Amino acid sequence: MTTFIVRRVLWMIPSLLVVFTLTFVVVHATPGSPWDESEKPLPEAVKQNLAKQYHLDDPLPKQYADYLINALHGDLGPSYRSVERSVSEIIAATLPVSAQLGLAAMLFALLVGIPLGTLAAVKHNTWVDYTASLITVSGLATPPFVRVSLLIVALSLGVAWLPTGGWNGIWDVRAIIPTLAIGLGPAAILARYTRSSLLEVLGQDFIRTARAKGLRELMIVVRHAMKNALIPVLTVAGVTLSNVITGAFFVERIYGVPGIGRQFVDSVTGRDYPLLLGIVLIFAILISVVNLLTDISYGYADPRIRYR
Amino acid sequence: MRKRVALCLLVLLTVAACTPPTSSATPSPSQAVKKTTLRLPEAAKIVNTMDPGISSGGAGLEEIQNMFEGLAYVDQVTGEIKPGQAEKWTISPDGLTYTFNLRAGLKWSDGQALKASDFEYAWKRATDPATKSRYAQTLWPVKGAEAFGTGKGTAEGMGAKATDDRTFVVTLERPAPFFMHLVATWTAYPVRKDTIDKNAEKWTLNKDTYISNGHYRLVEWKPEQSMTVEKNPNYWGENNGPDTIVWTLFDDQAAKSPVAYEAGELDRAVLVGADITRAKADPVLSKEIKKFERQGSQWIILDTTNPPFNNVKVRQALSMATDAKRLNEVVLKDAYFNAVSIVAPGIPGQKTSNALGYDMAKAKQLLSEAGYPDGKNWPANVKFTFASGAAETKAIAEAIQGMWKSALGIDIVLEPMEDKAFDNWRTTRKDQPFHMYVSGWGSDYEDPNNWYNLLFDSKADFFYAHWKNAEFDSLVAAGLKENDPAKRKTTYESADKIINAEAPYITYYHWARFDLIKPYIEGLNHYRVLGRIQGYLVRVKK
Repeated sequence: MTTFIVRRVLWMIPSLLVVFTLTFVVVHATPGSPWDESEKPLPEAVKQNLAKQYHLDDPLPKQYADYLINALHGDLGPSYRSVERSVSEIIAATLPVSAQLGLAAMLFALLVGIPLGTLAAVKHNTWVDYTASLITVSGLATPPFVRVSLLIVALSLGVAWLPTGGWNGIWDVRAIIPTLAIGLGPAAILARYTRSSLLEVLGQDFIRTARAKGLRELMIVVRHAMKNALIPVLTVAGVTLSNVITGAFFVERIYGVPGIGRQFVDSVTGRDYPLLLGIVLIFAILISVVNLLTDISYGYADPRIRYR
Repeated sequence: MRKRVALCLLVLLTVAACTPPTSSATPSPSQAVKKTTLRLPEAAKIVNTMDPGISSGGAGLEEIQNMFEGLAYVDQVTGEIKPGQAEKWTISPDGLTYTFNLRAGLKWSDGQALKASDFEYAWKRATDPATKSRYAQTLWPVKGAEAFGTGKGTAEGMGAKATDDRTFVVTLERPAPFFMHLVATWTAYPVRKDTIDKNAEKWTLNKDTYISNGHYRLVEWKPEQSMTVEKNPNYWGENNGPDTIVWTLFDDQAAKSPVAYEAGELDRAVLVGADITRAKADPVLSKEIKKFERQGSQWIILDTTNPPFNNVKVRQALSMATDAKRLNEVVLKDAYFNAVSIVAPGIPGQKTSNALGYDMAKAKQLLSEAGYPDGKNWPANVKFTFASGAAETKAIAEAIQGMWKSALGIDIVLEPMEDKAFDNWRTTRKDQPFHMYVSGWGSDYEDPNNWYNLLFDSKADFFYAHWKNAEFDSLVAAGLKENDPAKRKTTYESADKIINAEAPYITYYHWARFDLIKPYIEGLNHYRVLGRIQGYLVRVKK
């Protein structure tokens, strides 16, 4: 197990380098300057001075090497567009917000998705199943930015229960709409996986044996079927987790949540290269770690899996 | 099992009960009786610096203007230059030396005395290339400033000097009748050396280090979320505006501010495009819409050295075949003001009678004289380039394409580009040919220099139309030096006539601003230049 983990961690280094190099090449091949922000163009002399001050006129290999050396020392550089905050500071301020929101959405997805899927499987081909399917299919069919807009229309403008946007920490009412908007998608996915996986398990011999022993149905589902049925769900949950904590880009933008997903979108459209590179690196690390954790958790959930 | 479920529920309820009570960014009604708050929208994306010396004046300018004051300011109702931190100033007869006398007892928001040396420091700092100012060129008319700003001179060589605590003397490179407008610009606001030395670029981030000198001072800035300011007790004048101003920062304020406004979270919303039409049809909102003039022109720039646009008759024909009235009123649902001439109204020199106007018959005749009767022999692949980010530009491009096709029988190819790619392409037009593209200009200050000299003079050629006219150049050069306002105006009027007749630009609307303003808000005004809201002029009657 330890060898497995060490090997996986070491493999992260070349993959991060590849991700970084590809991003660096792509952003520098994309035309545009970070400083044309207003509705009319900036004078050339000013742009030239800025390019010089930020070393954007250095040859690309030098810029690449400089960035990499600084990044290894923990310095992700200045943000071109944010004068007062460096890339590291922006990430430190925004990642926790996205992570909190992502975890809340994931919790919501688990608490809603798994029971919903279970209910659909147990009440297979009844109106309960059909209703659950309707909910999950609509959850899968609408992208998060559509859901967030619909939720604002319904909950903020319609019944006026919640504000139309903003952020005041995860315990504030402002967290409800983004949590729902992000969480409904993963909830639907988890429900679908739980349902199909559970249906398969419920048809197996050991379940029939349990029923023959005269166990109560609830006990059969919870104790015997679920443990087996949840293994594929675990895989999906891992992938989903890395998706939600890296920020639901458009939900954050639309609802005005100061998360990292919003910074990611802005850094692309605004050509803020250091910020974009910094965020991509952080995302790459996060995704690798979550994938590793998912793999490790199999070992505990499924006794058939052994790591060498 | 049932017990367990009950236990779970109990735990959940306890958690919910322990959750801290929800607080809202706006004060509760009981507070509002004593204190007034103005709630405004702002674009989050580019509030990336609150440093007056660095800001290029996009989003964030409104907050900076409310918190700082320069030696003079532009009256946001009349447009006149009024004394701010300086009680008066004198200009030497040769127009080269400006002596500013500061008011007695000026203070920074933290109570420390504000001195003329603070201006000297701020001006030199903004000019220093190491400051990375996005608007350094504002102060370049000052002697030695351009040299210093481009790395060829030193701070000491700059003609800005505090001779005592209340006297600030500025020497110019050459006479500039518009200089007081620059003095009123945010780049020329004073900033405090000690806080900048101590906190470097982070001085703007919190209320203890963001020391200002205007009507308001900072309470809190939450990046990408909100900014709150309160009345500055150390401001020299009086301030009868709201006690607090809160800006909510939106990624897309045009999309989000009307929603927040309708939910009662904002006192003002920004309206564009389809929302204007929707609000006009709404029984409540239609009474709260207000349209403001912005001194700007949206135009098509023609490459006057590239065929077929090197022929003046072709340019005139296209200009005359462009129905600006229909573009604004029908295509854009009256979101702007109908174009009257190349330069926006209000700039001395601009004269509507100089414009070519809309004249289909004349346009046909001119095109035929140019060798393209009914569009025959018109070259293939004449490109109309624009940034695709704004849906409106695409609608306009298609409308113009159709208009020219039906009026003149010519084909043009639309070439949309991603916004940043377009900026990059535009920059390289300096020495590369093109056919035509869309851009615009709005006054930084209300003076002909900001248009005729800065944009159209053949040495400046800001938009790369590659248009050269010796007579125009000499007229605007003379206008720049002329100190008599009446003579200056007629000089620029002659130049205006030339550029309109030569048609290197086709203006298709003048800028505007649409707001929704709550009925209990009074005095909220956007002046046509820059037009940021000044809190001290607003009354919240709620």
